[in-house]
Amino acid sequence: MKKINIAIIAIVLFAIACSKDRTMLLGDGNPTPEKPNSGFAAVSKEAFDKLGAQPERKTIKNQDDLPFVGSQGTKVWLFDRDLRMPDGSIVSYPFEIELLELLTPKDMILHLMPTVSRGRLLTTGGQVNIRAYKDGKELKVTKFNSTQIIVPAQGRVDGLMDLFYGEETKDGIVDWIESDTSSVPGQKPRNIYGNDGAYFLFPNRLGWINIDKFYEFTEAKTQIAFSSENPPLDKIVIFLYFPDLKSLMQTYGEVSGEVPVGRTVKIIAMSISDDEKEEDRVYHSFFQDLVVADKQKVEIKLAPTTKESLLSYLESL
Amino acid sequence: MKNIYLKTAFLVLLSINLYAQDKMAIGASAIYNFPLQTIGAGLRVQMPLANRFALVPQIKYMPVFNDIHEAYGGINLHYFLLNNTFSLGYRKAVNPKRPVVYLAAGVEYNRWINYAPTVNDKAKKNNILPEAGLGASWGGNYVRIFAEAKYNILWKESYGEIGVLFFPFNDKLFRNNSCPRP
Repeated sequence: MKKINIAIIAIVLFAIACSKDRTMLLGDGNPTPEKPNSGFAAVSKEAFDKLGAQPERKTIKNQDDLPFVGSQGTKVWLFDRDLRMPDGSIVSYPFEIELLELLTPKDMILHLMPTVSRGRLLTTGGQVNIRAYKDGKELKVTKFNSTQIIVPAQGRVDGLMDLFYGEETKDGIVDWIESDTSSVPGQKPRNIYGNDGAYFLFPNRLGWINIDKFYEFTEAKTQIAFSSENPPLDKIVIFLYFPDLKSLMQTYGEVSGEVPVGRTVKIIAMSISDDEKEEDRVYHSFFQDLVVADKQKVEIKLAPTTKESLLSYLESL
Repeated sequence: MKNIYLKTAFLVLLSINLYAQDKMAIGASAIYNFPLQTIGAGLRVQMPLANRFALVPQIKYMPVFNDIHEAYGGINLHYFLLNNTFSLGYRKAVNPKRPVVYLAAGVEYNRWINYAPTVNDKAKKNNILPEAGLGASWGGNYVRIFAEAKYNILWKESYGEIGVLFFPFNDKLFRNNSCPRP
């Protein structure tokens, strides 16, 4: 009997000790060695995020300071009783809440936050990054808590949306993992519902949170191959935006992840010159609308643009 | 030197006849990779090696409808923690209806057919993968169900396998393969 128990425990451990790394595509893998004279800055999270929505902070002195309302309408209720210091000790007021709202394709692109989970496209209702701090230390939230977040819906509320948490890989890419995937199907506790033009979220952790649902392919799948003469692809931010699906995919090399054939996609490519002074930097962009064909190829031809033109295009998405 | 190998091989074959009451089995299975959520099918041969050991060459195929299209071929060694074989004087006898629980360890060649570089930098188009796991089988003299949970140590991926084993060479005389009456 003891041997059987050990076997059952081992099987459970096997099932949960899993790596999903093989589903996280890197495009063509190892980055191309940097060319010192290419004149373009390497792709980084910091390259464009200053152009998009910025994190907001508020000190919460007591419950009367709640909710913390973001500039785009997100409301956050986060109570001291639900928070813990990194060492597990309890937290008392005051503490700080930091909120970043990425509710539009523009802000998601500028912060390099695609809506892809383990290589699969997600239809998104918006992303938020919520963190709490006390004495400069980042706080955790207890698993069972009374935290509530209300995110205004961009358009009609979709009752099939689910909650996804962002997990950062060692390469700095945030992959979205469906919440409560360990639950028995059909008995999953609802930690999100939509009502009255907004999504009500009840997360059991802080950090990156995404309102999403998987896009279920009914079409054939393909991958889009990219090329660029100058600069090399590793100096270009490339996004695929599917307006019908409200889905964003970032490409990290020459080949995209799997996308549906026959769907309209907007290719958004951006780069920035590597001038030391910020005011000297030149923005470059390339936009193309197309209907995805099998084994689609796209040649990126960046052209100089202005910050205003780039933002204006992203705003129109 | 060559003679020594031949003699060793002969002794191994002889040992199979002496101790293994369960004869060679062939099996088919369905496979589910837990983290990748891919499904596939497998074929195997289970060759008894000694009282508590069996060698199991096997192939697996995860078809193209999965996100990851790949094939495996390899060999596992099974060590029976709970065995259906018991001593009957100087001979070994088997109660085929008694469940078997075993540890499995082995090595596999993997061909990732639709390979694309991922954040797992240990995963290439061609791979050699060590694995370990646990399994159980139960059923009758000729047909048994088996289930296994295995862990791919290099890629940290676990998968489950459930299937059927056929023992076409087991002794047809049930009394030769059964427990003595209490």
